[in-house]
Amino acid sequence: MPLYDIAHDTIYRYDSAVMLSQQLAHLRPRDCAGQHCLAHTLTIEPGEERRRERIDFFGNPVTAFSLQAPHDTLAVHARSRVRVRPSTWPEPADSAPWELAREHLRKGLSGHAPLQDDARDVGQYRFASPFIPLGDPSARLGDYALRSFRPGRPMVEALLDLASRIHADFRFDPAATSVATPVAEVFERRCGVCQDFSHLMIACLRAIGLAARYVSGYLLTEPPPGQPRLIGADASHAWVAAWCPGVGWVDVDPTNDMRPDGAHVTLAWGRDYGDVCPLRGVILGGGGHRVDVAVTVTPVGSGALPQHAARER
Amino acid sequence: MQVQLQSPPELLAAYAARPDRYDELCQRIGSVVVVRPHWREFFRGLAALSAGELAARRATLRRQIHENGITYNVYADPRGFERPWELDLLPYILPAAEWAQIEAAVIQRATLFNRILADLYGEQTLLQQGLIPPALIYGHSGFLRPLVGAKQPGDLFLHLYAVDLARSPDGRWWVVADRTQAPSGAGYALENRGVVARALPELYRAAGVQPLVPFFEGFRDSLAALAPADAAEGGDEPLIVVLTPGPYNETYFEHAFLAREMGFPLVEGQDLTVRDEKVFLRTLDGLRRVHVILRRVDDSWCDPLELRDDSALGVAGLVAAVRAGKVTVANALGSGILETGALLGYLPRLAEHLLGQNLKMPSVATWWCGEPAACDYALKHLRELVLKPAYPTLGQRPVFCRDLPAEELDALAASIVARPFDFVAQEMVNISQAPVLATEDASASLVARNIGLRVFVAASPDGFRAMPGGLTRVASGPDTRIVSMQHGGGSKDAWVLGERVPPRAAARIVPGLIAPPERRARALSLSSRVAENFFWLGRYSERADTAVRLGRETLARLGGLAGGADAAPAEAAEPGSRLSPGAMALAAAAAERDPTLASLLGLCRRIGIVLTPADAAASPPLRALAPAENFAHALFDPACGGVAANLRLVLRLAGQVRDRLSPDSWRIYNRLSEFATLADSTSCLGDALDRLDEAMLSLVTLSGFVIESMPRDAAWRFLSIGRRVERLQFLSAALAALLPTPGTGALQALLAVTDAELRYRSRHARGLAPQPVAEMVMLDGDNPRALRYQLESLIEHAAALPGGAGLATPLQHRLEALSSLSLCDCLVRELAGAKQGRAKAGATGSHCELLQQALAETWACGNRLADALSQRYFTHLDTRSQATASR
Repeated sequence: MPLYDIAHDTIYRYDSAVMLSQQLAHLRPRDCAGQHCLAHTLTIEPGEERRRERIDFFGNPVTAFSLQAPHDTLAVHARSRVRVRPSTWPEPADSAPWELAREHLRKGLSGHAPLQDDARDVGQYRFASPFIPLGDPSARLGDYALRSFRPGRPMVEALLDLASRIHADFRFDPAATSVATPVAEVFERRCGVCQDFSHLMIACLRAIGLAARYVSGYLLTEPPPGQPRLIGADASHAWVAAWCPGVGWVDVDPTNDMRPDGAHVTLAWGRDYGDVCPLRGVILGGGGHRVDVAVTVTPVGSGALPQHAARER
Repeated sequence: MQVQLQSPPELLAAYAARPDRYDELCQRIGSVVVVRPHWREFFRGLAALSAGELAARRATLRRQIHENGITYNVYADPRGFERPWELDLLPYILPAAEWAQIEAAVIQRATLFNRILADLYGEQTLLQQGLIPPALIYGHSGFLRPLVGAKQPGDLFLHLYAVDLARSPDGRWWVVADRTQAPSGAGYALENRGVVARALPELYRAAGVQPLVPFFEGFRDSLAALAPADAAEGGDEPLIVVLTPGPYNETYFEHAFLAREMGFPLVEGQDLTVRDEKVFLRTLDGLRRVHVILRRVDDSWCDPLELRDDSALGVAGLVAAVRAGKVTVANALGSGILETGALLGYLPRLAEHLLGQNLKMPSVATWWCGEPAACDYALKHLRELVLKPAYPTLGQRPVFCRDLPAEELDALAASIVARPFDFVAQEMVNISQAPVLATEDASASLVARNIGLRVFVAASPDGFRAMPGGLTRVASGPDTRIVSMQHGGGSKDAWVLGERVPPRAAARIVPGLIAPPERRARALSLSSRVAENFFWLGRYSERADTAVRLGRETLARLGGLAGGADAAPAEAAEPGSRLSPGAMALAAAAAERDPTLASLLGLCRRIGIVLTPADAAASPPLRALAPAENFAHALFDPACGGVAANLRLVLRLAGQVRDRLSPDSWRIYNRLSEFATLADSTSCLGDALDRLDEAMLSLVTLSGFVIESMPRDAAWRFLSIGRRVERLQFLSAALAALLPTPGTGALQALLAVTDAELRYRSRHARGLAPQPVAEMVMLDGDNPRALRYQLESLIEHAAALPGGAGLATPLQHRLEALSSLSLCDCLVRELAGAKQGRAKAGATGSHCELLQQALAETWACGNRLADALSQRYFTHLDTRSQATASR
């Protein structure tokens, strides 16, 4: 079973002093099926911060901290050691027809009957969310999705097909979008980064009545010999999980057109990026700022715990 | 259908009861239509008033609305127009027995909603048992996940609740909509009561109306009682604040009104900060702990850290403070989720389950399409229904399906099939109608308008209590289906008959009479934002005062009405001249012949009373009037920086500190608004001077109020400092401009603009001379318009500010420098020489230069003080927050 050391460094440099900084960090990898976090440290400079750890609504560990003394640089260093067990995948053609998932959700969420535990959890990811509105464009996103989700098609097969089509139809371009680019614009311009492709795919699935969640995480930085380096390996990464009756949550990575299988490390999940943003904050003062993020994931055994991430984005 | 019975026929001549609606006033008995019993006494009283008297009462009501400055939509219009509150003279009357039923129903509903909120943000058993469809909650953007599990003191989520009621043709009351997060209207209802009770005092007293004030007192006491457990540790009373989005909000008037009436500071998001999960108010003395926040900011805008990160209205960290139990927010964050119409259909079952009771008042029949059977029904009967979004984020307006062409109806049906969860279908209700005094014709007559009643329920230490009556909303036209202040409708006071309270309490009918709580919190220091507003309010009030005084003097001289022998009326501009060079240019021509006038105009320019010729030429075209009229026009043109422009700034600032202004002072501010607009009457010189005199009177009333009635707190200090700084600078500029001007006209003008003529004449019988005039305007310690007085009073104010001792030192030095300035014989000789024309203006000697230098230094001293105050006390750029996010 692979064991990874992860270094995730975020450095903010402000033009003028920040008087008060309040931050929420989703930087501790959550424990989940197939993954266990063995060790984690979060170092904050300039230090002397007030901290509080808690578990958020979606079950992710979150660290809230505030800095109440003036500072012009904020550095957050996350170090984690995570064991990942490659998941056993269902045979795509054996999964249930996708309409079954839709019906199960509709019945389970419309009341009158006691709510089953799975629907209670799954129901959170069935509807529009702040970064994934389902207004007018949902009709077009739904049409786009339905070309993969043909009547009666097994759910996992359709899911993989949709991921492949997004990979083929959309161009990876870090310069094309920002944190705030709306899904509709990504759909229009046919380009973006992993966050955009994940939002787009989730929007497609929710538009046709399915439940899908946003997974924030990491990829192995240097691939095993003979394999290509994956897109998004030097930064934090994102992909999608969709819910399938009888199987549960199925992860799929539209950016790399693949099923996560041992080289993906899950950090947190939520309805969209906004729920699991690695570091979200509100500052007083600061003027303009520049942020540098560096991520390194190395298999343990190939070397010691990295001291500092080399690659900056 | 004509209404018969004891009413003056002319009053009801135009009033028509309709068969398809319930009529609140009239009922049909057999073949006749009669006035309902609970309206009869009121109508007898109304009949006793002549048409002229009725018109006078209505005028009283209008004047009060104007003077109290009751507005909706204040400053929401970028052009700065306020919309006066629409209020009908006639109340809406409900008999006690009927009210008792409504009261029981709305209190039951508030209780039910509070239980539902407690479950949704707690155990969620209602979702698990299928009593509320999970989709309704999970799909609702108002379900604030960061608040799940957060405990509320006393398990109270809903502190103030409003419900919109309507009456169907059979006379039953129905609930149309619920307001659960930050309901508006309770303050307007209280204000309506005050205004109508004053306009119809004898009818109000005779009717025995249940009072509103105990409702607010109970609410206030409940808020204080629900402060976090650690509030008592400091030994102080809990600090309760009203959080407003700011003056641009449509109901800002009400925020300020409630804050003032209940005695809570009105704050904006930037006034608050969170440290160690506690909320603090920034004040001049530093941070003060806040225990309870009565919020008028919507749910998701309250915390940019955990909720909407694009919100500039909220307080970063507020959610964490709530979770930690360190602050009570009313209503609880996340309570807006109950405003969805989709919930209405489930309430009867929920009432049985949670309260073991039947729902006392039904909601308008509603089908949430997320439920398959309801969806089928809605699709089958679409044409008869009103379609609404199930989740507020969808943002669509209600669609009256019977108005839609066939193809649009089909498209709507297709959307419902594709996204059933998103739609709510509601039955159309023909709501009731009530009499309204027709506004169009001069003879008083009543017309029928559709009405809805917004009823309020608030927590009190004895449980939920309903406000007897509420806000009656009136449709704007005879066939208007929507009753809403947003859609241009009006309002009525609602009278519930059958007063049940002791007479002492009943006497407290008018606003301003909510009894103060028995124990008061420690006197609160001012928030930085409010201090800054008061400082500028003082400055602009004084600047307006200066504009009036200087404008009056300059105008009189331009028109040849002042100044004696050395002034002559300026000639009229050539009739029909094509291009008007603007007021200043024309005036400049006149000034060439009159040095005093030249100095006065220079002074106007120096202190920005009228713009420079180039600027004035760019302002709205001025007719080719004589210079005096042109100048008068510029004074009252808001584009020219004169009287009107400064008054506008005064009114804007007064609006921002409205919760701290007493109703009486607010009335004075409102009177000033008459001079803040361009009036036609200023085209005649005499009218313009009259107008300036009237404006002067209102300004003097205002400053008199400040002296006589304003408490001597920090707000008063900052207001006074603003005034003194402004006057200090004006006097410096006036002395510098007028003392060296040849001739005695300038000395006379100087005395006139400093209001010192009388004092001068009583002391110096010899006539005008530069030395005594300079002495009086600079160093006379008894003259409140002398430089010395400004400096001495600034020194006193500065020393009284927290940590302000250092601010006084430079002022002290300035005062010493001025006192030691020898207004000696040489200076007098130089000046006198200038006056007699032996030396040209500007060519005076070194003593004059020293004087000019001292005056320039005094002006600069005012600027430095303003900067120092800003540094030390006011809001800075680094108190504005910004959101950041990393990928």
